[in-house]
This record gives sequence, C-alpha cells and structure tokens, in this order.
Amino acid sequence: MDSINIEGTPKTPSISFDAKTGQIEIKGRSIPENSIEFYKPLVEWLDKYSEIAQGTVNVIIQLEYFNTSSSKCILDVFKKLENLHSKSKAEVVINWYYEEDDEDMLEAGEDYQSILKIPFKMVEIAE
Amino acid sequence: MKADIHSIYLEVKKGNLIAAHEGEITSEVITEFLSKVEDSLLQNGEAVKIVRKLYNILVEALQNLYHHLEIPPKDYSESLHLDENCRYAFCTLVKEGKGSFKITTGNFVKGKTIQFLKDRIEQLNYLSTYELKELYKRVLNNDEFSEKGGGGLGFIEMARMSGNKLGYDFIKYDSQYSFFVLEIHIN
Repeated sequence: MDSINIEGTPKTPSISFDAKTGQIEIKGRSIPENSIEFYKPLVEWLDKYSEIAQGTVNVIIQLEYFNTSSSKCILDVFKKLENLHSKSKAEVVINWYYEEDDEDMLEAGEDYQSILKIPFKMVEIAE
Repeated sequence: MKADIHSIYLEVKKGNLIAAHEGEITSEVITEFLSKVEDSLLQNGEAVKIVRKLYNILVEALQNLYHHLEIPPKDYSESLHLDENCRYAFCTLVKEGKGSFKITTGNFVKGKTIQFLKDRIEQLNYLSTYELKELYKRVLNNDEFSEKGGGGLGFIEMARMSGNKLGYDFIKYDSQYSFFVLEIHIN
C-alpha cells in the first residue's frame, strides 16, 4: 500500500501517512478555505489502511493553527482511527502536541479526547 | 439617500491600525492579510498568546466573508469603481490599548440571512463560556457541512476565543440589501 507524503504550505499541513511503519503525522497549519477537499484523500487512505493495519499505529498531531472547517475534518480522521483501533488488530495512540503556553491548543485536544474512545497522549513542547 | 458604506470602513480603521483590507476577498488576499498581521504583531513585540488568538479569530472572520458574502448591489460597485462581480468586503484590525484589540468586518447580506445572523449572534451572546464550549463540541461532532463547506462553527469559535460579546449592526442599503458589520473585541 502506498504512503502519502504532502509538503506543508502556509495554509495546509505537512502530511506523512506511512503504511509500512504505521506512523501517521499531521503537522503545521491547517487553515484552507476548502478543508474537505484537502482531507478527503486522507480519510479514504485510512479506510484502505484499516484492512491491513497491525501493531501500533502512532499518530502525531502537531498543529500550530487550524480553522473550524479543518476541525471537523480532523474529527473525521480521528473517527476512522477510532474504528481502526476497535475493529482491527492494530492499536492506535494519538499524540496531541501543543506548545507550553498554548492552552487553546491543549483544550482543543481535550475536546477531541472527550468525544472519542481512543487513547490520547497530550505532549507539551517546551519553548 | 443610501447609507455611505465606504465611510464606515474609513471610520473603523481610525486609531492604531495594524492591518486593513477593503475590496475583493480571495484566498490569496486572506493569506496575505494573515501573514501581514502576524508579522506586524510579532514585530511590535505583542505576546505570542494574543497573536495566536487574533490569528485564529481572523481566520474565521475572513473565511466567513469568503464563503458567505453577497456581491454588492450594482450601484455600490459602480460608485467604488469595482468590477461588477467583485466579492467586496472589508476587514480591519485596530489596537485599542495594551493587549486590547478590535477586529471589524463588513459585507453585504440580503434576504433571510439577515435574520439568521441576528438570531445566531444573539444566541451566542447569551451563552456562558461553558455553554459556548459545550455548543462547540456538539456542533463539531454533528457530521454536518454546509453546501459552502462551512462547519457551522465559525461564529461559535470567534465568540469563544474572544471571550467577549460579539458586536454587530445591520445597515439598510436598499429594499434588498443590508450591510453587515461585525465587531469583535479581544483582550
């Protein structure tokens, strides 16, 4: 299965979805006007990946900014991962990174955590 | 006589102006505006925390304009020498005092949107911080996207992030159009 690698832009995050290592990364800024268009292939990839996933799937979310339409798409990504966690042989851990003094980003991670049934790890980045 | 919309823009940009845009709202304009604001605020030595807050609110405010504005009535476009289909709106960021800022946006609206926006803002202004957070989570998880790709969270996020009531005004332009002014105070 092919991996996805997309470089970041001022409005879209860098993406690295690696089927071989089970490492899934979304990093940077996610503020596109059309979030659905950006996230659709990622959600579709996770659908396929759930058929072959095993071992630990390590998810790294390290966002500086994200807009509200991305927040819904990110929840879609998490819901696919939640499904993968409960129905496949793989174990998923979401690592939610936030800067030391960025309470809003920590709170955003906690909001997702409260909605989903999947292990979340809040990781503080020291400045 | 019709309301002088352009003078509203000139009025709201008075004071310690950080950034202002009046005219077409495109994806590129939004990118440039955000980048200019971020650079100016950091150069001015503003705290990273307030820069993040302003950036987040501005993203929502500008993308609300991008997705929902009405192309101005023809006579207005002509008076400002705009293209007939110019997606006109304005956005300003003014520093009001130490750690205190005001974001103002303006755009044309018509029809049912006027009452919808009034009700929406009034509802949000009535909610406590806790209630706003709960509403945010509920709408986040409702799987609904509008036909314009919005998630219905923009106003909730702006109210939640600013921590203040949203200010607004609808200025009647003609029998069809009103001009919607949104004012967000951040401190």
